[in-house]
Amino acid sequence: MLHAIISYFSQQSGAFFLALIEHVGISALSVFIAAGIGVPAGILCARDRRVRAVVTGVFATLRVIPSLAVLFLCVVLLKVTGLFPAVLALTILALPPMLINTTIAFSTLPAAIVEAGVAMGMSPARVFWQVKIPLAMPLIFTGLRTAIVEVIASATLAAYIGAGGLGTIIFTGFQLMDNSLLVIGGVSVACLSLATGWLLGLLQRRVLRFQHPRAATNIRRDRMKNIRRALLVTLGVLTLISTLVIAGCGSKGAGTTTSASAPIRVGSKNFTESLILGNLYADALEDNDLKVDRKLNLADTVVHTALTGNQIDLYPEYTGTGLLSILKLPLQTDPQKVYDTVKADYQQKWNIVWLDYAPANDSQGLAITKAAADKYGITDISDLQKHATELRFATQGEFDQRADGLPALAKAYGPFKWKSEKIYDTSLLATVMLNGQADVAPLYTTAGDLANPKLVALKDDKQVWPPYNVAPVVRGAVLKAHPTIATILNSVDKTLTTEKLTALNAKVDVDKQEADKVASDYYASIRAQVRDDLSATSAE
Amino acid sequence: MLQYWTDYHDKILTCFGQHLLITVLALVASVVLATLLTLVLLPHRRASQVVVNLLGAFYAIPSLALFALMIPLLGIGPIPALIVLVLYNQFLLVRNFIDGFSQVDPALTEAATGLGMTPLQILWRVKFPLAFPVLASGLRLAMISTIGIATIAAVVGAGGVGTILFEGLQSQDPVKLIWGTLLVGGLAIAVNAALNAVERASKSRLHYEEAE
Amino acid sequence: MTIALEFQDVSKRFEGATEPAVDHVSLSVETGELITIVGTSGGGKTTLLKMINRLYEPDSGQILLAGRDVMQQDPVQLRHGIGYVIQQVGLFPHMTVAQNVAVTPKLLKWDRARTSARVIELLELVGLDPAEFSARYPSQLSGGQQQRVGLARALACDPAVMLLDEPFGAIDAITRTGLQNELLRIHAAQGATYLFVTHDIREAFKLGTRVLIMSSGRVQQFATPQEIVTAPANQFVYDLLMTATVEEGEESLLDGAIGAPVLSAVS
Repeated sequence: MLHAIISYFSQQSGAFFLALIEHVGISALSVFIAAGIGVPAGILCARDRRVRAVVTGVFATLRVIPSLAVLFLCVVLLKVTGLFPAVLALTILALPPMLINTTIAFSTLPAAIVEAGVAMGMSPARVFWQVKIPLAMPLIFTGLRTAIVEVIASATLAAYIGAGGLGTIIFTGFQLMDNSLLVIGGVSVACLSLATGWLLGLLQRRVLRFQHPRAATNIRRDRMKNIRRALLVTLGVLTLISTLVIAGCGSKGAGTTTSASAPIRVGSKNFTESLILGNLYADALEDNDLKVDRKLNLADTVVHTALTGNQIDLYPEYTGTGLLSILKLPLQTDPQKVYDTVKADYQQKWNIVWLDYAPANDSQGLAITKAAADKYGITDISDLQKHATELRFATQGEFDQRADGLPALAKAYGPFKWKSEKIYDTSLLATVMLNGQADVAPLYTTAGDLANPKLVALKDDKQVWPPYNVAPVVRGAVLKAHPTIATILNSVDKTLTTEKLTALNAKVDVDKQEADKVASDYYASIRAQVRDDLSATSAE
Repeated sequence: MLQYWTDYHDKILTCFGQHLLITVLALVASVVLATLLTLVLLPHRRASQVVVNLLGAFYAIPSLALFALMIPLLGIGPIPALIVLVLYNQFLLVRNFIDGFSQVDPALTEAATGLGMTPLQILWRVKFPLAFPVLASGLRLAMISTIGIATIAAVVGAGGVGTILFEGLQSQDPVKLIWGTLLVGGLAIAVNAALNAVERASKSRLHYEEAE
Repeated sequence: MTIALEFQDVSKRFEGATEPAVDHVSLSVETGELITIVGTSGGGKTTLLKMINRLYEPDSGQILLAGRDVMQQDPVQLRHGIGYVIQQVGLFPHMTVAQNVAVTPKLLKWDRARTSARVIELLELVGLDPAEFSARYPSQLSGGQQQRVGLARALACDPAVMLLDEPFGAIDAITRTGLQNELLRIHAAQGATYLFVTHDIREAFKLGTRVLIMSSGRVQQFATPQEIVTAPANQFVYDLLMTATVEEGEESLLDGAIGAPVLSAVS
C-alpha cells in the first residue's frame, strides 16, 4: 500500500499536481463567480424587506438539494460536458451561502456607525466602501468559507462529468479497484479542504483582527499550535484510513455455502450492456422458477469483489477483463484459449465457474468522429497513431492505464501523443465526440452509440486486443445448489451476437428505454428456445 | 415526465423508499452513537476538542473515496453505506451536541444543583431543554447531509434515488435526472422545512419561558 | 458677537407621524456658545440637531450656518465643517483609535505628518495617552474611553460647530462628571459653537451657556440657566425644573450652577 503510494508519487507527480491545480482552479473559479454574483445581489436584496425574505428563503431551500443531482442535471440539460457545467453546478452550490450571508450582513449593519460616517462628511461611496463593507465583512467571510469548503468537496464529483480535478484520481481508483489511488485522491481532497479552511481562518483573523483584538498578540503562538494540530489530525486520519484499507485487504469474503432456498443474487456492472445482461439473466432464472434478488448497477470492478465476497452469486463478465484486469495474466488473443485460461484459474482460485461464453464480443475499441476520419483519412488504428498529434482524445481514465488499453496499443503501434487528453464518465464519451469536444475516444465494440453514422469504429489492424466474450460467472456453491442455472444461462448466452447486443444497447442509450424493459422484451423473444433447452437437458 | 411516472412508478417508489429507509436508519444510528459520544466527552474539554477535530478531518474526505475504500472491508450494499453515513454524521452531531450543552449558562446549572437536582436531572430537566435549539440544528444539518450523501451511495449498490440519477447520467436522460432531482431535492426541502419549524418552535418556547 | 447658527421658522414632520417633530422653530446661536438642548423624549431635540448637518432635511424654513443656508450647500462639504458625537459613539470597529480620529483629516486630504501630529494632540486633549491607546481597537476600550475617542474624532479638523447628541447618556455617573468637566475645558479652549442634546436637566444646566428647552417640537424657553430658574416661561419649564430638585439629600441641580436662594425663590 505504502509502496504503491510512493511509486505513484515518484512516477506520476506531474499528473497529481495537474489534478490538484485543476481542483483548486475549478473551485476558485466557481467561488469567485458565486461571490461576484452573490455579494452584489445580497447587497441589493438587503434593501427591501420583502425581497430579502423571498430571496433568502428560496436560496436556503436551493441549498439543501444534493450536489450530485445539481451536477448531473447541469450536464444533461446543457448537453455539454467538462468545465462549463461543473463550474455552473459548483457556482449554484456556492451561491446561497454568499448571497444569504451578504443579505443578512447588510440588513443588520449598526445604524449608529453608518450614521457617524455620513455625519463626518463621507460621500455615499466612501460610506459604502469604508464603513458598510468592512462592517459586513465578518459575515460575508463566513459565507465565503462555507462556500469554499463545500465547493472543494463537491468538486470531487466533477470528475464524473469530465471537469478533471482530484476526483479524477478517486474515479480512476474506483474503476481500477486500486486502493492506493483511492487513498491518494481521498486524502488529498481532505487535506486540501482542511488546509483551505485553516488558511481562511488565519486570513479571517488577520483581516478582521478588530473582532478579537486581544488574540492578536497571541497569533504567533496560536499559529504554531494550529499547525501542530492540523498535522496531528492529518496524520491521525492517514493512519486511520491506512489501517482500514490494510485490514480490508487482509479480510477474505466469508462463507461459501449456500442454502437451496436462498434467492440467487444476480449482479451487474454499472453500464448499459451489463445492466441489460444482468436483467436478462435474472428474467431467465425467474421464468424458470428460481428465486432471484437483483443487485445490479455495481461500480465496474467492485462487482468481482462482491462475487468473491459472497455478496452476489453471479454476474455477466467478459473473458478479456477476467484475464487482464482480474487475473492480471499476460495478453492472449485467441478467444477459446482466453476462455479456457480464465475458467481454469477462476475455478482454482475462488471456486467460481465461467459458464459458456456468448458469440458477442464487446471488445475494447477506439471510435473516431466521421469528420476527423474523413479529414485525415483514418480507417484503422495504424492511421490513427500517425495523426495522434492532431487529435483530441477523450477517455474514462481506466483505458489509459490498464494493460490492455493504451499501453498495449502503444506497444504494437507506437506511442500516441495526443493533441489533448481529458477524462469523462464512460457514458459521456460519445456525447463529447458528437459535441465536437473530442475526436477520438475508447468505445466498446457493442456500444449503442456506434449506430450513429457520425461515429466510426476503428479497425484493430495489428490485432492487439484480446477477445471480450461475455459469459456469466457463477459461484460454485450456488451452481451446486441450483444446477439448472447453467443450462438456462448457457441457452440465453448463445443467442447473443455482437449485432444483437449492439441493438439492445442502442435501445437503452439511444431510444431511452429502461434496461429492465429491454431485457424482458428480449427474453420474451427467446423464451421458447430456453424452455426447450431446459426440458431437453432434464430429459437426458 | 408523466409518462415516466406511469411506466416506472414502482421503480421510482422503490428507490425513494430505499432512500428514505437508509436516511432514517442512518440518522437513528447516528443520533444514538453521537449521544453516547457526547455523554462520554462532555466532561473532558480537551478530549472533546480533539475528537471533534478528528471527526472534522474525517468529514472532509470525499464520500466517493470513502465509500470505495469501505468495499474491501465491508463489501457492497446498504450496510457499508449506512456505516459511512453514520461516520460522516458524527462530526455534525457531536460538534453541535457538545456546543449546545456547553453553551448552557453555568449559573443555571449551579442554581439547579442548589435546588437539589441530581446530575442526571440537571442534564435532562435543565441542560437538554436549553440546548435543544442547537441540538435540533445539528440534527437538521445531519439529515440534509445524509440525504445528499446517500445519493452517492448508489455507486456501492445501496440503491436509493442515486440509482436513478446515475442511470440518468449513463443514458443522458433528462427525464430521469429531473425525477431523481425532484425526489431527492423534495425530500431534503421537506425535511429541512419540518426541522426548521421544530427549531423555531423550540426557540420561541424558550423565549416565552424566559419572558415569564 | 457674530451669529454662528440661525433657525428661521423651521418645521419638520416625519412620514406617517401626526404631529410635527419640529414645529416652526426660530432661534439664533452666537459663535462660541455652548447650547444645551433639553426636554421630553420625542420633543424634537435630536431632529433639530440632525437638520443642521442634513441627516434630516427640514420641510420648511431655513437653517443658516455662518450666514449660509445649509440646504444650498453640498452635504458632504457641509459635514466636513461640523463635528458630530452621538450616544452610541459610532466608532468604526474595524479601525484603530488613531485611524478613527484620522478619518476627517483623511477626508480633507491632510498629509500624513500633519494628521498623525493632530491625532496625538487630540488624544492628549481628551485625556487618553496616545502611546497606550493609538493602536487599540474600539472593542478594547471602556465606554468612557470610547466616548473620549468619539469626541477627539469630531474635533479633528477644528469644526466651527459641534453637534453632540446625548454623548454621555450611556456612561456611568462618576465617569460622566469627569467627561462633562473635560468638555467644558475643551470648549473653553477651542472656542467653537457647541449644541449639546441631553435629557438630563442637571447636565444641561451645568454645561450650557444657554439652555434650550423643547417640548412637542416647540421651543418652550431659550435663555441662560439663571434666567430660566428665576423666571420659568411656563408650567412645562417649571415642572421640568422641579424634577431635578425633588430628591432630598442629593446635591441640588441649582446648588452649584446658580445657587440655592434662587431655587427657593422658584419653589
